[in-house]
Amino acid sequence: MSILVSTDNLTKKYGSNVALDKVNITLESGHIYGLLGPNGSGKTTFIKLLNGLIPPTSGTIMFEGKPIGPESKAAISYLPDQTYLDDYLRIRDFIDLFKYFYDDFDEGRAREMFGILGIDITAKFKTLSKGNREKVQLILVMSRRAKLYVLDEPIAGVDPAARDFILKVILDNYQQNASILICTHLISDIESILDHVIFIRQGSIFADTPVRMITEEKHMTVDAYFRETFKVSDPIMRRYMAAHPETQEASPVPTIPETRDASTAPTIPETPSENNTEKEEM
Amino acid sequence: MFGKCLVYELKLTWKKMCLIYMIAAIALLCRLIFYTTYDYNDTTMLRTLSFTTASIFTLAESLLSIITVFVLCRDYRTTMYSSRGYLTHTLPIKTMTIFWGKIVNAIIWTLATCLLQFFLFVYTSLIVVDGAPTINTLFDRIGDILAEIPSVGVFFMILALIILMTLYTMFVVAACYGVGQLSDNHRVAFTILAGFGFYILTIFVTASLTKSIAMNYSEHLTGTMILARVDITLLIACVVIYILNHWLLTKKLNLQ
Repeated sequence: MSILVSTDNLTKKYGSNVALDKVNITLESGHIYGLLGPNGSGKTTFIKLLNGLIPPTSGTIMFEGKPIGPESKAAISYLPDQTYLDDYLRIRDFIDLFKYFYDDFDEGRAREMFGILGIDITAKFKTLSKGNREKVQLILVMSRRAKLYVLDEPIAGVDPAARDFILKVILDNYQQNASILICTHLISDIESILDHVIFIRQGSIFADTPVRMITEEKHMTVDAYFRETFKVSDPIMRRYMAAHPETQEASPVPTIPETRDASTAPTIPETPSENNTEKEEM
Repeated sequence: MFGKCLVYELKLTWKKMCLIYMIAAIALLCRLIFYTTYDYNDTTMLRTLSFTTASIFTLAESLLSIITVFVLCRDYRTTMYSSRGYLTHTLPIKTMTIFWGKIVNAIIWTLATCLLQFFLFVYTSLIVVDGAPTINTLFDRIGDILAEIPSVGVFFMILALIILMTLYTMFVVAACYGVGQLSDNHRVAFTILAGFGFYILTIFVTASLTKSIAMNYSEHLTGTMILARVDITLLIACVVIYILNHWLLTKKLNLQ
């Protein structure tokens, strides 16, 4: 496996606000990474740096040993967390655009997926529903034969059925030697497809571990592990719970066991549907 | 890659520009029809119609370049600094190549509009003189105007002046947006402020240039020499603002 992305003390500041603080991450090929953290933790900032959308304040970020530039952009397929296509163009125009600029774009695959979904490629982008817009962007991004797919909140803002479809498209379309970096705060929905997670909080990485380390050694789901870790480490949550001890019992967040005991820790559901049921019951 | 970028930009813009030109053409046609059928003995209704079409045409003609620049600037902002910038800046092309693609595209369309405006202006003046002039009359008149230019060198200097002025305008607009995007919360205010700053700077440079020409008037400056000075000053201004744009786009890009 080769190293795709490596950062060295990567720091990004917005004025006095530190969005990323001396982050060191290595992403290898052939993995599905989850970049997980609450809103405002620095996930999107990292992704923007990786795609050359903002320059770092200090430190470096390299793709295959080279600085971010046209070569890395040709190898990274990026899905941002917002609509980035022109409302007044038709879907076939986007297909043409991707075909025109990206050598690795598989037009046939894109057309096939649009056909399966019943999305008319002559339709203007602005006429599509929010869910279909997300799907159009995802199909375009996943129709590239990229080395790294960077997906920023791919399932946020869509209904559960659409989430399933999106995850299926992601899994079916990436090449096995490529990697995927999925950035989200909806952990329970995507954890079944992840094999490595990177937890980020307030601009710092506080966990960078394979999923099996969490599931096998800690006997927890990634979601439960995330909640537990954040509850312990989040100063706001600590202050709130100290001020309102009565909420601890009613809290939907799993409580922290004094000693980590496999029998009391949340277990990994066998199927994603069980996971959803458990979440609803909680 | 620049060629690829430029072709794509031209493809994206031509529909919008054609629409603008079509409106101008329709306005001209209406003006022509009503002028040729105009009669002082006509009813008030016809005279009102003729006056209205003449007004609409004059307005359309004078607004043509303003609308063109507005459309191009708006496109530049949305494709570089709005959410659509996420696509623009992740294309496997150098940022400055994308920038030049957009700038050259803008120059091409602005010059095309200026040319069209010039033709419309000459044609309208011929309508007043001849009633309904033919295309040949129009080209004859344009030939007369061009013949008044003293030399080929001056012609190219005037051409350079037009191109440099367009380039300067586009660079300034791009720099204003570039400065505006530096702010996380007050992008519009920063853009307007930058625009005001460039406006003051332009006035200052223009005033200095005019003063320099006036003070050296005794040296019997020819028109060619004045043109050359203006061209060189504009060229220097373009280089300086280009460097600023380069810095803003490569070192200070701040997409939100």
